[in-house]
Amino acid sequence: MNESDRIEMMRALADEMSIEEREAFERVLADDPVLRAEWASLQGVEGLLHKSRAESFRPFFAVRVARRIEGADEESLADALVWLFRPLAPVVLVLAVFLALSNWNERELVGEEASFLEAVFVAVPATVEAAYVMDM
Amino acid sequence: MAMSERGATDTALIDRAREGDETAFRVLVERYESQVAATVVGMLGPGDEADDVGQETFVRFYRALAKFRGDAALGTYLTRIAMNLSLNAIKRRQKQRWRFWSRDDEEKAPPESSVDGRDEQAAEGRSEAVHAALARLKPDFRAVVVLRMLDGYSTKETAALLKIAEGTVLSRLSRAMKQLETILKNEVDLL
Repeated sequence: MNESDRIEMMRALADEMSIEEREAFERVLADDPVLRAEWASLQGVEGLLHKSRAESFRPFFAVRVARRIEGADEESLADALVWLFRPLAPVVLVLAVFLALSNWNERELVGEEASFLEAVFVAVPATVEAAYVMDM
Repeated sequence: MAMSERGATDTALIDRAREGDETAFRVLVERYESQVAATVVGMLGPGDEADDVGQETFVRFYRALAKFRGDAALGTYLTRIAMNLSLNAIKRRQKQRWRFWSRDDEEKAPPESSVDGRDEQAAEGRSEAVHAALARLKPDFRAVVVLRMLDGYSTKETAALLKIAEGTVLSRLSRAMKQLETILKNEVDLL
């Protein structure tokens, strides 16, 4: 059986032949036992496919879709916030560097012995002594 | 759920869903779950991945509600999304398989069919075997079988959905069916 015979079978299986084509196909089938066996086999595969067709997903599918849509809405709100604030990011970065440098230049406020991070963030040690000094 | 919602046309439900009526959208999901399941499960086999792709199909539709003009029937529109997402999922699987150098589900031999079990078990085993056999087809061939044989689209509609020629649909279908026949006959004795 060649490719063209198989394609004809596909058309017959799909019921996409004209009456004349169908009659001609049936005549060929009647005369050719090999083709007949192939045709029966093909119909068997078609039947198995039909019986195995999934009719649904797991139970409560519609509920899962609804939940996912709610989640998607939240995600799009987060995306919108990112989109809104992204243009401000360079300005905020420049401002942060400026403040850090300014704090570093005035590091004597937190004490000469303060570390780099303490100086940049003006992190005054939270001790009773420090509180007393600040109160003075 | 009111009978009016069950009996409402797709267009009416879509209009209501656009206005934020969640119940109307839910009716649409329930109405088309079977059709989307046939496509997605046919392409990916049953399981979590298919469920996930099924959900995503409806989420995409929900997001596109405002733009949906109804040029195509809703079923066809959803099938197109489901098929594209399924093919993407198969590509992802293939990438993962390459990355981890592991055998994928697609390569697993179909399970033996249960011939002496109860009817339900036998049907389940048969369905599993058919899905495993489908998974062994190339994605392009599988897509044609799923649309043509499981979803019931005509050759012309299948060609339009996959953007290929009708002759290509028939040629792929014929080869795919032959391959399925060989697997189901020789490996699981289902024919």
